[in-house]
Amino acid sequence: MLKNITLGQFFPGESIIHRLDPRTKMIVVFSLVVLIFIFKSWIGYALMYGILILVILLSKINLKHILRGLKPLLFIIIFTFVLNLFFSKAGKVIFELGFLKITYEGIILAVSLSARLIFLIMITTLLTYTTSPIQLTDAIERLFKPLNKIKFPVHELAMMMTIAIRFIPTLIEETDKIMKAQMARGAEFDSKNILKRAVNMVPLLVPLFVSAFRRADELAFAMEARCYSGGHGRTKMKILKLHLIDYFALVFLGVLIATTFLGI
Amino acid sequence: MSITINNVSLTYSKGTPFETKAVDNVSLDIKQGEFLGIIGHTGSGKTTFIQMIAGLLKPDEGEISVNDKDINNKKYDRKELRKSVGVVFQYPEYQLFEETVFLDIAFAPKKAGLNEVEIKKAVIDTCELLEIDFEEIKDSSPFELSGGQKRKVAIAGVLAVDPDILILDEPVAGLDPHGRKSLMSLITKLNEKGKTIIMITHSMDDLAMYAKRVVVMKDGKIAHDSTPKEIFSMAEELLEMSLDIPEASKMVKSLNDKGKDVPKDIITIDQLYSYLIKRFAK
Amino acid sequence: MIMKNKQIYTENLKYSYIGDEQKISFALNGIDIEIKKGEFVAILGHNGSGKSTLAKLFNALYSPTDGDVYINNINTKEEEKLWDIRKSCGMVFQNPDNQLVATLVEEDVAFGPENLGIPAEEIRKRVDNALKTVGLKGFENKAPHMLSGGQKQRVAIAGILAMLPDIIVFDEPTAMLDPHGRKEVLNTIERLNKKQGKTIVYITHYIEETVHADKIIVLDHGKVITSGPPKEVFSKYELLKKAGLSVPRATRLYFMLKENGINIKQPTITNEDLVNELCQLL
Repeated sequence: MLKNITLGQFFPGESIIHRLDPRTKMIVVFSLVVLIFIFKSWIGYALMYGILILVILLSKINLKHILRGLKPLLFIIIFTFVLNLFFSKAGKVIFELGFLKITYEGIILAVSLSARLIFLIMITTLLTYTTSPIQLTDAIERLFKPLNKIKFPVHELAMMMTIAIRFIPTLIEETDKIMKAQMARGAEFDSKNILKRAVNMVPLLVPLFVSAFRRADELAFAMEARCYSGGHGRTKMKILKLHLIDYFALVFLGVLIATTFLGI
Repeated sequence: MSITINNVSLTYSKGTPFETKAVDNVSLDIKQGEFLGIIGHTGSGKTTFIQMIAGLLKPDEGEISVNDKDINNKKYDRKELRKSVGVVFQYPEYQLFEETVFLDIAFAPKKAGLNEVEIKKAVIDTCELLEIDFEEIKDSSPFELSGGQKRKVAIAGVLAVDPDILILDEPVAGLDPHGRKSLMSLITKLNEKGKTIIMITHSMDDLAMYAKRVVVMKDGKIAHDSTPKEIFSMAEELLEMSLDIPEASKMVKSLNDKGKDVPKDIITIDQLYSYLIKRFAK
Repeated sequence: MIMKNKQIYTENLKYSYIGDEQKISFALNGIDIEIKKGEFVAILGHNGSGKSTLAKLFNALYSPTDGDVYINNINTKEEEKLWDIRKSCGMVFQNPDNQLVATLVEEDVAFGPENLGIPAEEIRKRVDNALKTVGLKGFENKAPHMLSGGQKQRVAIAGILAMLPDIIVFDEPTAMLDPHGRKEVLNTIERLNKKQGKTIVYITHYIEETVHADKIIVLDHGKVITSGPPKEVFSKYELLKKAGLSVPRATRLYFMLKENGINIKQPTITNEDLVNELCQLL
């Protein structure tokens, strides 16, 4: 039931996109998002969306799922669009209705900002759909490794993320158990009054916190018993390695960035 | 308070690739004062089933009635259900949350609408029933108690509203032999007082000794519903379902496999002892 | 005095902590234990007898308040040798969930060797071997929360095996499992002892799980009250009862029948023993 929820919803698969090194994917996604916010011409947008469509096709993930990723943020997209459409200051007024002015520049701004937002959401959704949480944390750990030099605890943060991801389904199950136990004693979790609702959460939150601390304590013992002592001297069984497709993707990205800067 | 379960079903994760029918068209009648044990392999639907009886889960199909009133009817008063049906979940000590033992045990009575005098009486009476030293620990934090005490306090929290029906999910899990005996003796005492006991357990020896009726669940359905003697005499079938059988039944089965012809309805050590004494006397 | 074949031994081991009302409580109050290489030793005690504390003293998770613990002739107080001790003396805990740290089974089993700085290829070999030994080949890419309790515990055992220990301490590993999971784990442990010669220290309050041990050590209130092979220990019925423990049902029945004049030749501790003895008389 709730056991089957995965963070960011990862869809396992064997497509080219799935097989790319997670570092490559993260670098590409980051770069593309920056680029689309820099681009000013229609050609730029068309190019980015072209790349997006190509990636969607290569990933073999159903478009329906990708569009579903837009749903929770639909409100923000529409809000941005409407805000810029009606409330842009500058420009030639095309249409007027009371205090609402639609200008030509307003339309362009609304469309371009929305297009950027949609692109951002879809490309990052694609990232989490094609990359498992553990791959993402591994990638972050490798990419931020240089920060070790300034004593930034890269390994420890990655370890924390891994453990958090590992325990999310377990904690969800536990929340359900505690809720049912308290409901059986008469607790109500569906009050309409916000203040009441907050107070009613105490019988749920206190046991969860106590339990979380107990887990952490037991887990710490178990990790120590297996000789864990931080990142120093640790090796990894699975080492991220770049392959031909990664080099190809990175070269392509390099060319794209170069052309952008030459074009602008 | 009788419970009637009519053709009840529940499916999890409908419409997803993880869809599972946890409870499949189950019907059962439970009379006041029964001591009913529910056994079944992991995933057979036992926990889902008892949660439905307690009104914590709504069935997709079928009705559940307590005293002939459909508990899932919009007009049904949930508060009444909470007062009549108590549920002790597995490792109940994990539900403790209040600042003091008194407040934690008082939670259910408070939610049930009892006044301060009634609440205090309920807490004191329940502590006496569970052999908890009220004066000593009433102001302690529940988190400072020993494991065994925590469990007692948690159970007290459920019994404080004096429910007619008590549902327990593996109540003796994690307890040592002394703790087990103590708790089972309390549960038996409550049953003798007239409370209905519905107990999920893997401890077949406890059921052999205390239960009067055993229901076997398999793949969301009721596979068998009979007395402990009848159920545990079906040793092969239970073992095939990955279920355990009482220690005495194991010995009876071994003796019978060696052709010694011992009655299959012997399910406790005491019964086996009595039988052997009689047989040796001949 | 250091003896070569004693793999684990303790000398007047004491462990105290500050308990209620700032009083000093002794979890262990002068323990002298010897465990030989390859032995399967069970440590029995009711909850609160000090057995879990003893487990954590064996792999230096706790340090003695007084006295000494030697693992492979290394004193556990030697801080520089901590890793050596924990490498050779692995530990499996009671809660299956709170030992698994990674999101995939094979990554969790690799955790220990990774901490030891073992090269990637060697880790891969160890992980594959460990999973095969515990019967979980094919589970490499499963997520821990999708496994049953018994499977989770076996993953935890595999994680220890991948560190190539000679000793494995099990701290009530079956307490939170259903009978099926319990059997899985017990069978695995027996295999590790009989087929791979690992020294096993098995801590529990479930008497039936100790019948195949080479030696049983019984703790009560922080002291060893008796030790010896199972047949010897279980004959001390009254002593065990006082320590809050029971005897296996086969032993109890043996005593009951003996008292009634039935002449069973050998004291019995397992169902098989008793059935064989009874067959001779019936």
